[in-house]
Amino acid sequence: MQHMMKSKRINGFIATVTAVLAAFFFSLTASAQLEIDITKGNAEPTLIAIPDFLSAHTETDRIAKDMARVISDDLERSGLFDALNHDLFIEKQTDINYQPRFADWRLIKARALVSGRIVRESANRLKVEFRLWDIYGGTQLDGIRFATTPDNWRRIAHKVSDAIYKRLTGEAGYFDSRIVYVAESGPKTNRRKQLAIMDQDGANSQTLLAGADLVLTPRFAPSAQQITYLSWETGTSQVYLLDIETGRRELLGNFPNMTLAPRFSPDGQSLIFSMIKRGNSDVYVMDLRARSTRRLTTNSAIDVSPSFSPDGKKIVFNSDRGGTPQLYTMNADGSNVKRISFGEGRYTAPNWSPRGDLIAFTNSHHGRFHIGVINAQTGRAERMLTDSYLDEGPTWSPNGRVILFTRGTRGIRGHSEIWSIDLTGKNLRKVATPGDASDPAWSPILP
Amino acid sequence: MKFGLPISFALHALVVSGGVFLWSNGIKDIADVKIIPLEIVTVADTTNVMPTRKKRPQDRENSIDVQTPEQQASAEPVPPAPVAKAVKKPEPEKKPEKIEPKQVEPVAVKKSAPKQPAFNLDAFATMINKSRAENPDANVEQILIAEAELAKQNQNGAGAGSELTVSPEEYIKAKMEPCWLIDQGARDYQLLRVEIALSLNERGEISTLNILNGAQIIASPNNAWRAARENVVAALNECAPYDGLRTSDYNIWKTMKLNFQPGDT
Repeated sequence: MQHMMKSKRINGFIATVTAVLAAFFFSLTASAQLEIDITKGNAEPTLIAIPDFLSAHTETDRIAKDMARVISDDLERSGLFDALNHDLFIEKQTDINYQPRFADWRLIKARALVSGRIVRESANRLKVEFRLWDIYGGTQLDGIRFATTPDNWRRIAHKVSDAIYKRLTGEAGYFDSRIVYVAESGPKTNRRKQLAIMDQDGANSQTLLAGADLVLTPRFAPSAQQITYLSWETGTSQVYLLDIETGRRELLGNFPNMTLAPRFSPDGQSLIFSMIKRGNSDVYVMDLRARSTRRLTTNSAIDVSPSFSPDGKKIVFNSDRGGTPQLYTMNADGSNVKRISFGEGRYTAPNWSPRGDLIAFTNSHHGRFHIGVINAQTGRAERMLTDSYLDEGPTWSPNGRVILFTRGTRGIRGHSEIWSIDLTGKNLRKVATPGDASDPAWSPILP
Repeated sequence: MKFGLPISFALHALVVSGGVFLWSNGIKDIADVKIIPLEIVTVADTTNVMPTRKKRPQDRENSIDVQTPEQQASAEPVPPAPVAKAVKKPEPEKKPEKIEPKQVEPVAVKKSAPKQPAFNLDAFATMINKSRAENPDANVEQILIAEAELAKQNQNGAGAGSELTVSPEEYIKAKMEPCWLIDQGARDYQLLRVEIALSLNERGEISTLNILNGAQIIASPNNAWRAARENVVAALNECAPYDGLRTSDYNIWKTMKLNFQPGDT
């Protein structure tokens, strides 16, 4: 028995030694393999080929061309894509149910190809199909079919853009969305401010309220069907809810001396805003069903511009309790107030990203204005994305990658415009509006 | 108390013997220093820089004829560097200019017009000759060290990415830079690491390409990681073939592990 145990022990020892030696030699072999850490790439846009969509009917030829153009414009505006000039295309498509000649598209350095067609099913019904191809992988990445009315072709184009964007970046797109804003007209000393709405690319701009009332700070509800805004039509600030489909308006309440914009909570069940009472500005939340308000901050400082985190658990606001306006976060019930910005200048108008990772804000310092972002959790990694005479009021795209804001130019004849900037700070663009515009708010993706 | 004396004796003996051992090792360390320049000479040989050992005293005539990079360039045509090939590839049309390898261009310029060395080689050679004439029995080791330094400077003068010195690592990095598109707006983009096992044939064409951390990427809630993975694969395919690698080093680069992770920008 003892002999057997001894033999087992010896065998175990030999096995262990063998395993150790094998691991040693394996590690030697493994370490001999060339291993390279690659940290440098480039941030150039992805080259994408978007030929005109195919069309079998003369009535849809125009839409087929325009659809490709709208998709190209959408993707290019994101700063992540560059649509190749059609003159470069070697392969001319006659059908989308085929395998593209990938070598031809590789020659012109396209990474992706969009081939689409429009089929007119009846006088009032179109079928739009597209396929997205990976040129270097030689595979189809996506293929979707939409059905719509001819006058709705732009929305379909935006939906195609969203699908392409999502497939190539991994993140949701933002092209099938709208922007509500304040359309401004008249001299600066007697400005007329009306509520207006347009597609995110500036198309289909229309006035929502044609009156001469002063309206401010419109904000979308999470459903994208309602807008809340401030109006002075009765001489005092009033909060309204407006259904943009039906045009029905509802007065939520009179709030004398209300300071800044009301915003919806992520579930759409409450509004958060700041209000001055007895000379003290604090953050309040209103339950939209019970119409009851609750005070969340009790500090004697000026607490304004609250904005919910996308999960509804946190609120960011700005307060001068530290001496100058800085950004603070707190729990949704008003507890655990924590300062998150410590930079120079004044931090105002915070807006929590729908992605949840960043908070956008306006910073003014030494007479210059900036739109910046800061890490929502740590308060670190602060970056100023813009710099101008007057940039203010950031609002996020539904996917949290682009920020719209108001840019003002100096002087009595100065203009107020809407601009966009992406998170890299490199893709700054002016958004086309019929006239002067301010205070944009981006809708969620349309249902 | 009974064992106190023997224990004390043993401890003292241990300390003394340890000291002697360390002291003797210290001497060995100093002796190792002399080997360093010789190692540099060896490295220089492997980089195609003119072998500096020819300049030993017994080869004095030859030692003066150290080729400067200019002379090398004019004397015999230097085969085009692999990186330069990528740059010189004719662009088919106007648009693709945007992804021209921006970072590689300076390397190509360096190669087509090699830089003047930081010091005057002719003056240096004259100085060495003069020194040797004055003292023919000069210390050989000193000359070797000087030559090793010269080799090192030749190496530096040729510049990183030059066909003379480019290593597989430098080549792959330079080659990937224009092809690898980084989405800097993606969530946590600097954490999106993609590990690739890449096998190449002798012509530098891709034999196999495996994503080593694919399971981790798929399991992540951050969908941008998947897009980052696809960007890396597209970049590797777009950049292929990797035909600027020296075939004599095929065993070194036939399989590689490539770790793509955006650094600070």
